[in-house]
Amino acid sequence: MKVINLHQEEREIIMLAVENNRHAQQKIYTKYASKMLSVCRQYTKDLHHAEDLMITAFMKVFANLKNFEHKGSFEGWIRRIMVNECISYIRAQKKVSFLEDEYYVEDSFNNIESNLSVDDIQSLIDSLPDGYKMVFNLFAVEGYKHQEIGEILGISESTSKSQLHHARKMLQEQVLKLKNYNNGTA
Amino acid sequence: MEQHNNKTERDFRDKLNQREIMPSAHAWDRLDAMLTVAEEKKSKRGYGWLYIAASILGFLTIGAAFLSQTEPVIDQGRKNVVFENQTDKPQDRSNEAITPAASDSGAIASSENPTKINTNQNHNNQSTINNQSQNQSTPIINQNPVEAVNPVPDNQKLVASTNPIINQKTDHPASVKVDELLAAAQSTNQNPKTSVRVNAKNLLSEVDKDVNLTFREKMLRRASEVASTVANRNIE
Repeated sequence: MKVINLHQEEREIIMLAVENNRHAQQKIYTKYASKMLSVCRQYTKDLHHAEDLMITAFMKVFANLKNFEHKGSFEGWIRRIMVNECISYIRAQKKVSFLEDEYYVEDSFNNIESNLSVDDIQSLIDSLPDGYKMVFNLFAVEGYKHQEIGEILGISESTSKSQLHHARKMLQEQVLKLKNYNNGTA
Repeated sequence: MEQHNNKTERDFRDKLNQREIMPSAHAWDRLDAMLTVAEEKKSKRGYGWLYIAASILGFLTIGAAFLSQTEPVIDQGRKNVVFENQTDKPQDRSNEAITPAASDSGAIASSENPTKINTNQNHNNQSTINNQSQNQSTPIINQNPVEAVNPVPDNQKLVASTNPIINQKTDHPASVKVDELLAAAQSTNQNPKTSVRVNAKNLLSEVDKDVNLTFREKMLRRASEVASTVANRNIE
């Protein structure tokens, strides 16, 4: 019953926000801003930059709120807008190039016992090149398929796979380095 | 979604999805300001179409008003042309009337002295009126086509109408018609246009000058005459 009530309450807030009710818009912002800033932070090293992207994406959220059909998760819908905004911004600013590397191995992380904190994980992701970072975030964190990643980034499926392969390899090396550093063996 | 069997990747995803970063305090203010600007732009867009429509309507009304004003101006030009002909005709006719009988110049010039006219033209008037009385069915105007067309320069006739001798002598029933005609002529004589005094000598001298003038001077003179005629008409 509580879930249904919460869903109805959120629906009412969304309906009010569609009518440019600033109080309802602020409620939505307050509820999702911290999570969405975390999403934006995955794609950019600078937190202020991430905040700018989040605000711009929230503008698009409120502008397109009338198109939300209440079929799926509202948070997932907002998150998708955030990711698209970050990717389009990075691609526009940095002109990311993806090497058409057909060589890849269907691999995965070796099961490394990682007790890494979220900040360590973020610093590892930040160390990746933009192309690898975007593919890794979309595949490993957002859960997109390679075909979907190829459509989003405008690359082939095999390129997406090879980018992920290189990202994993690089991350694995970084995790091992970090582990050895923490153990004092470096 | 692809299966994420890898434990490390799953760990990465869970930790990143659980993470929350509080935005700065003024982030909402910035978003609020941006939303306000966007709403104003939207409202301005709506009014922008209204402004465009209003300006188009304004231009159309101004254009319509301008066109409606220009049409009478053209008509006035045509009227001016008509007036030019009308103003020219009396002069020409007066010239025509004067030139055959130069002796009448004294009579025309004597219009300034009405008493002299009466004395000089008594015989002429009597003769014309007698002729009229003989031809009762034919009005006087038909006898002289120039006079019939243009009653304005009929100073002689008008002067004659004021002559009481005619009325006294003509007890004939046709005198009623004559009286009516004279009354009509008097009514036309009351028109201020006819009150313009014409000096025959001056007219003759002007005609002589016109012969010697070049085409350009003639046109300039004609234009000035038209302008003065229009001005006089407007004053009247």
